[in-house]
Amino acid sequence: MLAAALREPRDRLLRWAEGRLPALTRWRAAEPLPIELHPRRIYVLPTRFGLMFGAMLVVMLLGALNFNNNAALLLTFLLAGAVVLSMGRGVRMLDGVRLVDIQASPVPAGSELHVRLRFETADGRPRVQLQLAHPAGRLPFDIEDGAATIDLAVPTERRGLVSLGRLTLACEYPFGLFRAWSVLHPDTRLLVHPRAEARSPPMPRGGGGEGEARVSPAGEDWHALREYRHGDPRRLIAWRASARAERLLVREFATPRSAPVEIAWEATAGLPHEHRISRLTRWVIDAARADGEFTMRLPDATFGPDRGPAHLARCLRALAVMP
Amino acid sequence: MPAGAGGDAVNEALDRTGFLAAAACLVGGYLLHAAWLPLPLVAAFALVAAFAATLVLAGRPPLPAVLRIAVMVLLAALVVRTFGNPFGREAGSALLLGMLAAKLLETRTRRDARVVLTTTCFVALAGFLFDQGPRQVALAFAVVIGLLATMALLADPRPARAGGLVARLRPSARLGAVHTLLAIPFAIACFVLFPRLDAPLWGAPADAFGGRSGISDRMQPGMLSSLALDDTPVMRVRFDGEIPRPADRYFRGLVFWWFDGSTWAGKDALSGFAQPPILEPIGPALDYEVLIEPTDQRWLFVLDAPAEAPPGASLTGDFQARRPTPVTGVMRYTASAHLAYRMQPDLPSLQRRAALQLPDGNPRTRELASRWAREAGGDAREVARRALGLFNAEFIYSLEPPLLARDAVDDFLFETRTGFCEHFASAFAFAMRAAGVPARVVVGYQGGFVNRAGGYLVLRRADAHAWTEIWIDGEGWVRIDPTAAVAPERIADSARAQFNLRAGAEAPGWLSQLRQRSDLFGYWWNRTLIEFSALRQREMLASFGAPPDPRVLVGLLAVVALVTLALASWWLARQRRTADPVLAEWRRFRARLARAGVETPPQLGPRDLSARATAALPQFAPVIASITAAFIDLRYRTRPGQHGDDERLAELRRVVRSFTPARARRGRIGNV
Repeated sequence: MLAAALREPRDRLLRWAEGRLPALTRWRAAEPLPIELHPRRIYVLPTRFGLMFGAMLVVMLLGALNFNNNAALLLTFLLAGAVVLSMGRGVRMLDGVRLVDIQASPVPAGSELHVRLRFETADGRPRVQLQLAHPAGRLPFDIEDGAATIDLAVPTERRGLVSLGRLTLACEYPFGLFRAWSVLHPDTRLLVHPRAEARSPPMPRGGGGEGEARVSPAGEDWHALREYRHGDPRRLIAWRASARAERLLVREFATPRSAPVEIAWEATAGLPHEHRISRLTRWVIDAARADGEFTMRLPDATFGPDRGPAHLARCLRALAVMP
Repeated sequence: MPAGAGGDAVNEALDRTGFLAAAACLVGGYLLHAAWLPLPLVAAFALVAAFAATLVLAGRPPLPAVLRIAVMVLLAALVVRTFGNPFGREAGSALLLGMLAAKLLETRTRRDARVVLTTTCFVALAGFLFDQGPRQVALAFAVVIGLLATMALLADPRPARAGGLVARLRPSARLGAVHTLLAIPFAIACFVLFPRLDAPLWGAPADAFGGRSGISDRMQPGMLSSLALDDTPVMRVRFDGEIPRPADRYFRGLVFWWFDGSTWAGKDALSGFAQPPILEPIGPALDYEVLIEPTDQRWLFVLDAPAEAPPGASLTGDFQARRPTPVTGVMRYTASAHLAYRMQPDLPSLQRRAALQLPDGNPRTRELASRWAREAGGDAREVARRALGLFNAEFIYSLEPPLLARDAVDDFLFETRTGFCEHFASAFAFAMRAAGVPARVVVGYQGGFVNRAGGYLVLRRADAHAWTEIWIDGEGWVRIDPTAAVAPERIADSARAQFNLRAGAEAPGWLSQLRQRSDLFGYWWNRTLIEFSALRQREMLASFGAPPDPRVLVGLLAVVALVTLALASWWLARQRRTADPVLAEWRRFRARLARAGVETPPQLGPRDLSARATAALPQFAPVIASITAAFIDLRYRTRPGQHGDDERLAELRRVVRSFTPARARRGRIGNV
């Protein structure tokens, strides 16, 4: 209850400190992949259970010494030995684990970014009961055969290149008495697209056309097959396809409009900055869905005219990283 | 990030397996107390625990807090009612056990389960306040493994995997067992070298060490006969030289002077005439070493007649070896005795009067005694001879003597004529005093049997005995054992043998040997483990020539503990086992390929590896293909817990283990 109430301000403080005081938080400054864990950056502290158990061992030791009860003393030392042995095992689990890759397909801001992290180990030693902790959640995983991939669903708020933030790789193996952990702060930045405006006015038509590609048999790009209509030129008949379908089909070609769609930053003048980006995003997505060629003009760059998913991705990326 | 940040994980709900494992540990803790816990309490605790388990297994929410508190109060009340108070060893342990049973009622999270486990450690410790025997220690060892295994189960953050309960418990059980076994050297090092306390830090409750049955500080009829069938060892004695004959093996405990008609006592009354012990030895002294079980009493048992007090004890004027503190643990002491002696040739008048004190009553015995005195003409030996003659002629030695009337001695001497050693000693001393001969009763242990395997003498509770001493002018106190007149075999053998009951040393050969071996183990156990103390620790240091300084101990401890831990950690680190049996077989396959000279770089996938192996070892192509196919099928096809996987795995295991390309290659080279 209290912990939950305190977590929010604590996280905010950490975020603020991260932004304002890089010198103070440099111990977890972002670093490039791969990040390899070694004992010097792995911390160990007893868990709350460990503290409770340790207190009980002290009580048992005092009692056994006081009553000079040798069997009780042996029991206490046996438990203490097992506890001490377990202390280093979590470190051994983390030691040598490498975070080698972080990947995520961009999503619009506000939805969950599915981040795929790949951990590897150089030695063949299996690692078990690791726990990846991120503000987005905790994920237990094992590295059984040299590599493991973890899928983390990270909620997003803003567009742009977001960093994943601090990840904690922890291990309470084997008894939960000690927690070994290390903070990973990869400098990998993941792209979050701008949110597309939900209800936007239709995009302005560059050149005043009706916005649909005109279908013309004279075009060069093959588009589709359709039923033969009386008067179609004979050379357009797709004979083989017709033979399969047992009716006459003709090839149809689409020719892109001579004046392609143009999506311009200026068209949204008068709106707030983020709103403009959001509207452009909507238009870009719509244009791409219509499968037409389009051009996007931003204040300092122009994309297109072009078509296809790669073009869309370029445009969205440019919108995402706009200041 | 602080370590406590795992806090929210700790509160995670407990699954049934976790609950049952924690409850099983608690049951283990209960078993450590099973020997003494009264049955009604066992039943009540079991009922509560079983009810708690039923709730969890049925997936029901815990009882409301009011009911849980009511159960707790009821259990506490039951404990207090049983023991009369909430303090002391029994009541305290019972309260702890009861509260733990009640705790199960609300155990729903991992944290709850961990509280139960931590407290169970203390329950196990409390169990050793009652018994430190080998069986108890073995059971506690099993409980430790169970505790650690349950801790491992609770710490595992992975969701429960497919497979049965056993498959789920096995890795945790393995962790518990491995850590416990590897902690043994550390535990032994600490046990031997951890600086001990010479005196307790705080006073233990009066009964912290247990009210043990045995000889107590007054003798009532029935006290010793109640022990006659008790085989529990009391002390083990190792002699420097020959073990004395049974008739010389009288271990003196208490001397009783005061008789009130039914009970003999002597403890406080003697303080009035403290006297130095005066002994004129005849012949050499016999040295021996005693390992005594805890008695909770302030006296030791010494072979008659003690030449001097054992270290830490002092001899009273009537040769009792008294200690300032009770014997609360297994203790070792050395002493020496003279088998032939003259004890206190002069009797001060105060003691003479005490040795002639008589209660009222028993007129017939008095009359008989005065007749003996007249006939003997003041010769104490003659009086004693007549009394023994009477016993010898008509008395019966029995374990279950009839109850005696108000004039107990009269009733015994003239009516029932059936009794155990304490009846004979009591009646004999009474008669001697009535005849004017100073007499006193001595209780202790007599006889025992020789453990030939260990070369020592074992005295058991059944060997408890009462005899008398009369004072004869010119000879001092002379031991007279009236029981010997009735049942000489009792002195030669033991009460047990006499009654032909549960023969010990007298059993058939193999059984007797087994018993001797098991007693030898008990002797060794006590000598090396239970009796180890600050004193022994210093002796041990001295034997290595080190000064008896706690700092030396701490330094040694640090070194030895570090070495044991380092070795154990190394052992743990070299374990490269994988929990996945399929993967383990695949690794074995790769290792065998590597041994046969096929390179197996880790980045190679199973199909590529298979192709490479087939190219290198074409004669094994079918085997390699079948291993690869089975591996790919078992590892990469997602079908959790599908039927038939176990058989496929067994087949894979069989094929991989029969795949020995390296040997085949060597063989071929050998043939060429």
